[in-house]
Amino acid sequence: MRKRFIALIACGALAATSLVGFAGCGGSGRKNANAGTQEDPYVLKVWGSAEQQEGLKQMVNKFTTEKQKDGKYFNISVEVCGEDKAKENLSTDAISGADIFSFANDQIADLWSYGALSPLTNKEVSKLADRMPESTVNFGYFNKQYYGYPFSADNGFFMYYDKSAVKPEHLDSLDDILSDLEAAGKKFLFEGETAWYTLSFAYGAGAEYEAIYEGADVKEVKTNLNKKPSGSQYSYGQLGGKMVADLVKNPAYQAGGNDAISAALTSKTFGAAISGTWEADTIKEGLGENYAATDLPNWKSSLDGKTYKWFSFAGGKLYGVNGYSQNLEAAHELAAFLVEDEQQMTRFTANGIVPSSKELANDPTVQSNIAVAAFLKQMDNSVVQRAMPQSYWDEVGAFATWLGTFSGTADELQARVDQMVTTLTTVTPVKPAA
Amino acid sequence: MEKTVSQIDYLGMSGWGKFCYRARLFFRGLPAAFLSIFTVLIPKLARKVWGAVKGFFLTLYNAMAKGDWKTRMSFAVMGTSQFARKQVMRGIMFLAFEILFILYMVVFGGAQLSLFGTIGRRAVVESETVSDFLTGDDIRFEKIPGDDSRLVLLYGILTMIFIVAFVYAWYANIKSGFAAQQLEEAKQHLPTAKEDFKTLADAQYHKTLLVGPLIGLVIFTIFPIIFMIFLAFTNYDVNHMAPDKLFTWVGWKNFQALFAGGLSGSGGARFGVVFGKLLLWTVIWAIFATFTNYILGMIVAIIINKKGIRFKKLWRTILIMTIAVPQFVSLLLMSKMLADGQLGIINVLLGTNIKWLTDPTLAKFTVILVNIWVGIPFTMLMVTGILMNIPADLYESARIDGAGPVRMYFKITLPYVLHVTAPSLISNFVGNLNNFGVIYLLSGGGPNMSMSGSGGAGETDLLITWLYKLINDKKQYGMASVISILMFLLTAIISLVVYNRSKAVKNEEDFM
Repeated sequence: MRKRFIALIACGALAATSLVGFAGCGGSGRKNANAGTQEDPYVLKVWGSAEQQEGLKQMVNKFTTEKQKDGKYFNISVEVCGEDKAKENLSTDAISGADIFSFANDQIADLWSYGALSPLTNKEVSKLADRMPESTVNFGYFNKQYYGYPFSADNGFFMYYDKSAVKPEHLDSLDDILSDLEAAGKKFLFEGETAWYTLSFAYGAGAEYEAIYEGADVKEVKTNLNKKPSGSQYSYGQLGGKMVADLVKNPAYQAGGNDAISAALTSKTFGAAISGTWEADTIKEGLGENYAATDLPNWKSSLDGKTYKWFSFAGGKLYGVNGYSQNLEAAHELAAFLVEDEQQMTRFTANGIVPSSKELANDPTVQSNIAVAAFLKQMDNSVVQRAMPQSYWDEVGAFATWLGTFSGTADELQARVDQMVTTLTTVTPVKPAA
Repeated sequence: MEKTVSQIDYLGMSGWGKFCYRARLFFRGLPAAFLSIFTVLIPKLARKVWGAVKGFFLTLYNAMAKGDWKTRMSFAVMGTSQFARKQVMRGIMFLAFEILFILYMVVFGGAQLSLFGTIGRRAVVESETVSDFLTGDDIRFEKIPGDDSRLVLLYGILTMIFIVAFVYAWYANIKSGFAAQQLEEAKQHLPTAKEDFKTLADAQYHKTLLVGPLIGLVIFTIFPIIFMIFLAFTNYDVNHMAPDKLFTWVGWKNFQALFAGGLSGSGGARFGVVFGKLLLWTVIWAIFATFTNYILGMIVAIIINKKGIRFKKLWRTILIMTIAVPQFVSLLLMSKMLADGQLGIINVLLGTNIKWLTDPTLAKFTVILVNIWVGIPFTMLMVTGILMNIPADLYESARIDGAGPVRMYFKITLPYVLHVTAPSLISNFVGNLNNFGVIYLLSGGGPNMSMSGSGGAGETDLLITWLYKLINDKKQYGMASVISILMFLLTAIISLVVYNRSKAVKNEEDFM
């Protein structure tokens, strides 16, 4: 009896899975592209962040109406899915992802390796290059091709400050700002102990980092963090690292991002903060008429006594077209439309998103926005944040944590910088087992 | 190996001496207990497996040698023996299973198995698009999906499970066919289909009941574990993300990378060093988290249970309130309250800037402390129940004999409570080794390790939260599988050894 019983169970399970198996197999076949006629319109799905939903829907409607005049019919749906969530969703299943999604330029290597990006044609790239600075168009450059339509160039940081606490003639020097703030009993907010910000001093001194990709793989990492700039006896890592270590010990310094900024504004201890345009509304509201923003000050190294610039990262957001889109060409058409100047202006007015267009950057309305003007000023002193492997964030994050409690000698610091550089530049070739 | 003193000597020791002596015996016994896994458990298992294999081939041999043509036919066409002996129902089932299996293998399973060797063969293809949107000599390529390595692995494992099931069913068919032949030769009655079904509610009733749990166990526990073990031998990582890329077998490379480093996409991260550090902290955490809760919870329960304490119910209710609030809510609140500087209400109230959760050493104390706060009520509740069940006359007679409260605690209360709670203590310990919730919600594993090559691991990360980071942030699925296999071995060995040595198991019938 037992035998038959087991046979029965196995039989049932087998039948069930075969069905699932066959069904799963059938599902992987591709549908054909739509014809774009009234009966069979192009079906597209767009992912965008929650706050941009309304604007996105309007733009999409405009696009649909315009195209209808040319006899091309679209059926476009818009869904809420911000940059991080989009990357997460595409990582596990690019095939069923949206046709168009927005992403930050440093996610490009990951998205590329998920197969989620479709390249632009030369013509499309040159059209973008007519309207945008070269560095902005390059946000989408990866593995010898261009993979995205930049709609904003806002991923960088600069300084917000309280006009009543910092003297205008002191804005050029970090030391002066800090002593002003200490005198006024206010705080200087900066996330010095995190990976994104901690090397900004070193980059200002002239440090460089570049990950060279071959496919989705890092082939080589070049950095001069452990080397000395000409005329100095200290390395870039030492100079920048010492500055962070000094800064976190300053009585006016306070660690923290947007939670800390809100808290400082509420408790009236906000003196200055290093952050990006995403904090503009909060700080503007909190400071009222004392609200001001400018580019990052210069800083003086306590090691060699020289003054250096303070650099920001520069990055932006782009619309990407899914490499697995069923209506690939129609999707590219829509993505190109979404980054036109008119749409960028709409985005700026509604959400304060810094436009990527050359012309709009000089637009008086854009320039009259204090935060955006400060940001654009800072962009002259910035390094483009290209695709970086996860190991950069892990390793620089560990270095940042280490700096938070560092109070040793310059030699100890150099030893730690050397370790970091070794870890950063170690590259394991990807080869499956023979 | 164990040096035991005589009963007389033992009774002559002081209380502390006795405790030390027993503790020494316990720890001295550990290596032997550990070894016994290899000297006793594994040989026992091996003998059982050997017995089963022997039985399998013996049955086949017997059926072949002594079987008539009907039985022998069953080797090729399942159910022949049953059909020929008028056990039609059995025959149909075996035959149906065989046909279905062959059909499955031909249509689907065989193809999947052939892909299994490389986990998929067809890569994504790019083909030129045709569209009137493109003008001039512009061209663009679109992607045509290839094999999805994840699905190939999944169906491959499923197919292998079916093959095993089929072999078993085939064996069962021969065994049952031969048994039918023997019954027939002995001129005994062959059970009819109706009688077969009746046994399901009678002699075979246990099997009827166990079908559901068994299916659930296979689908939701055993199958995922097998899948995970297979993943440990693949290069499924950030550079080989299905469905766009194929991943493939890499042998023991992930295990090597754990100890020697060198994993693609992770720079110079030193997994071995991080693993060692986190393992040490995980064990320390589990010991503290378990025993602080246990001891302090017991003390609280005893204090509340003392005669002369007023408002007993009130105290208990207050403590149990913390259970009523979902644990993750309390933990998230605590993590906000303990934040740095102006952000944390505790620092604001104290007027200090204590780095509760961002200083590497202090954070470890903090998580243990908060865990005590969350965990005490559970122990208190459990111990209270036991305390109320200890017969009062034990204490009474002890008091008449002149025993003080401390002596009564060590002689009556502690043995009683320990006896009952030892298994739960062990499960708590193992649970704490994998206590994802507390650490993840409270500190998120932070602060980051400041060591070079830490690969993003935090100071308070347990192995399990590190695993989460490896999967979620870094997409190192292969490496994560390796670590979870090691964690499984660790917890399995600890639980086996400690559980088998606990008094509750050794002297089960001793319970007072």
